[in-house]
Amino acid sequence: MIKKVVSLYGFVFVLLILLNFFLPRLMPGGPIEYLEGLDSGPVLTEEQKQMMKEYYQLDDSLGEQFLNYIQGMLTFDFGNSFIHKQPVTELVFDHLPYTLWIVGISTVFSLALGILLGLWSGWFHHKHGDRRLMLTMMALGALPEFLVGMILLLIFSVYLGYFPMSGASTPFLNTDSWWGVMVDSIHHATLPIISLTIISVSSTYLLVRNETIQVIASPFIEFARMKGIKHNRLLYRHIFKNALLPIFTLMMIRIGALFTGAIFIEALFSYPGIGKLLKEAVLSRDYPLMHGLFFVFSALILFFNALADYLYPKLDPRVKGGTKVAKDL
Amino acid sequence: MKKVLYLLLAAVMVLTAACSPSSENATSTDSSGKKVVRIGWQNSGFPSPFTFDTQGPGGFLRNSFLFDTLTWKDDTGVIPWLATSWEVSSNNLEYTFTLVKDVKFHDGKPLTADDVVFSYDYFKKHSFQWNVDMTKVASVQKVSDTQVKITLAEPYAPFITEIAGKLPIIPKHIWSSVEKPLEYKDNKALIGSGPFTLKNYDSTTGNYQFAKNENYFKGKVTVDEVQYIAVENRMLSLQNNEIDGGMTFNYTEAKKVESLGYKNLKSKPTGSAVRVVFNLNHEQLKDKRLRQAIAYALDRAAIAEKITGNSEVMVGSAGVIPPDSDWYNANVKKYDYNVDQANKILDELGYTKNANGIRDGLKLSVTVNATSQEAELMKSMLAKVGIDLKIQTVDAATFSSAMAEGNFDMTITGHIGLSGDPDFLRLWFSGKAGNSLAGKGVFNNEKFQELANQQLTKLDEKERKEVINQMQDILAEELPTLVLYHRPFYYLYNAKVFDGWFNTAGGIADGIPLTDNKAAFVDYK
Repeated sequence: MIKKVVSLYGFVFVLLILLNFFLPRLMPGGPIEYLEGLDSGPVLTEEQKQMMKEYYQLDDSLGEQFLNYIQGMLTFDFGNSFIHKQPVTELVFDHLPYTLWIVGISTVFSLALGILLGLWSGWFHHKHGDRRLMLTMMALGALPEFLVGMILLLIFSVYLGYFPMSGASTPFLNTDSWWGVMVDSIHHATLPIISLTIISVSSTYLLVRNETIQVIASPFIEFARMKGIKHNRLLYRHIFKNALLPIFTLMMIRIGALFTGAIFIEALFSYPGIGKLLKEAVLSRDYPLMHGLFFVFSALILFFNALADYLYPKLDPRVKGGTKVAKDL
Repeated sequence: MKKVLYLLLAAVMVLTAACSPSSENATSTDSSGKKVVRIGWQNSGFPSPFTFDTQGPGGFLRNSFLFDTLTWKDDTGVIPWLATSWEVSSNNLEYTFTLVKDVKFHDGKPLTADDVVFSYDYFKKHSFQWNVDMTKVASVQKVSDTQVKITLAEPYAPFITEIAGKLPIIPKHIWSSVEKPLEYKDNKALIGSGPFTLKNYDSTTGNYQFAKNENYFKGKVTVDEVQYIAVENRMLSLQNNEIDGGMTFNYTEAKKVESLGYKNLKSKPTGSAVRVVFNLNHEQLKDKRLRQAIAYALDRAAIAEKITGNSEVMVGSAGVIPPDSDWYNANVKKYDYNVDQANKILDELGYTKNANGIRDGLKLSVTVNATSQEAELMKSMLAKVGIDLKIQTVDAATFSSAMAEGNFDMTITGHIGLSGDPDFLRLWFSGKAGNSLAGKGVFNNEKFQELANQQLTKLDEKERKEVINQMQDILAEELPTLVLYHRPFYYLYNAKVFDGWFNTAGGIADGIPLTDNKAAFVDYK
């Protein structure tokens, strides 16, 4: 089983590494064209351009560039970012914690909320509360992430002024207490976290609700009810446990999706995570930075998918497949 | 399960506790009794002379806070800075600068003629990023400890502003051992002689904290700290008291913020242009009469008013140089909105209208970088004279490679720096500058090229202006480009925090129409 997972994901990963090199270069224009394409950028002379090309090794042949790239991949050294003029690895590690922090917290929130609401909604199936909740959730799920973020930003930052407009902390905050620093970062992260939670809660909710309704219909629940088990125990112990499996898979997929959702949210709130970095890298055709970031994104997503694939049979032995089960018999 | 609920509740409480309005931020910086000015601008990179960002003028300006140049500009024009005076030889090739005595770098070491000579030589090897054409400099010699002679390879009239006023003087004792300046990011790379030192730069968020240089040679620095904060929306952040000043193009927005009690400084001269670039190799557009017809068909005053929300915005000069520049030719040909004239020319060219009023033979497209309201307005205006205009929207890099390859009919671009030295006309249209926005389709007009080279040799301003006037006449007649309007920038700021802002004559350095001039913070007059 492990061997299978490894070989499958290994193959996908090699494919990704190849795409990662060629896709950015298939995009029209390059880093120098980007600099020139800016409204108020500098006027470059031919000599300056030549120097830049040499420095960034853009005048190397595609083959040489590819070899450099592969070499870099193996040593986790992606080179220097063109626009940030800083090693890519350093850049990614500087920005990654911000994304992990907002994505992590909002994953927890959206799962907790989605599961709770889904269970209740399924329990009260066919009653008014359920319908209303479901319609709200479906509407929320249909909203694009930047719109959710924009509405929150308008209401809470622009009109009410409760939250800062952008950034991850108050610049040059004059405080030494860790409490002050923490309150400040929570203050800045609140709106991005709420936006990310809102956009991902509905899919969890819908799935949990569906599962709950199915599980409730099964005979063992009817039996449990007849035994006179209390309604709370029934809901959280019996129904929830049996609905957990698909939720687990979803959770893994959701985490991947949240990272991509963070790209929009971070750009909107000027939050210095890797999503914002990626947006800048793509627009400016910063090849080394794109390599580094796509590598991180695909590694993260693949890791969570692989984890799901690996753990799933342990949670539910039924999916191990016919031969294995037959052997065990 | 109740536990989960309590946890959630606790989380909500922590969040709301953190939600207290941000008013405390403003006082926290003031509480120490320091005078701090916070300005909104995006991340402009590590501000050493070799690593600052060249996407926009922010990087150059941040760098100018740390390093000084031989000459500088303020509201009166070019002023002496590191040099007290300079003399030009009769053949216009030798500039002898006398330096200010007892200037010290931030690390306490003296700035001498050796550092100036070293800087010029170093920048000949490793190019400065903000467009300084070092091929114009032949050699630099030390005459005495306080005198330097710079010899040019050929007469270069804008030398004082375009090289001496832009090239930072860097300390020899630091950079002489640096082989790869682009990778040198040590704090020593920021040691200059400027009015500020960089106390803090957060590369992840792009915020800068500049602290005043207590021993500045040119005069007392009047503020303790200048911060540049990378906010997403400057006008909203200004009202939210996250910054004390910020720039916007948007007139309506500027007026609104002004009405809330903030001061508004409009850039003057405007120094910018939004313009249409024609592909001069295009089968149909290579005929100048078609370009003129398009100029007549566009109500540029209406475009300017609709987009900026301001009826006083200057309509684009056909000679490119804005009307409020000292170099503007007042007699340059104007293309007032005239549909009949446009129709007449188009008919003469043989593009006849079909039954629907559309000229079948004339299908043009305009390529724009990001959504462009100008293009939308052009489309509807050109439709009135029967021209079918297609709009293609692409991103910056695609845009500029399309221009470099000549894969366009027309494009719309924006520029700043037009009120500075008029040598940009030569750079734009000679094909020498690599900036593809300036039009890769080289403007092959012999007379223009001749004049463009001639103006470089005229050090007498009157004579030079005469030549520049002729260049504008040719541009207006041939229309390789059509300027739609010259938009002013508005700097909105809280005057209670700092009120010393001014407009630099002709724009900072090579014509940057912003207010971030370090001279505003120095008491030197």
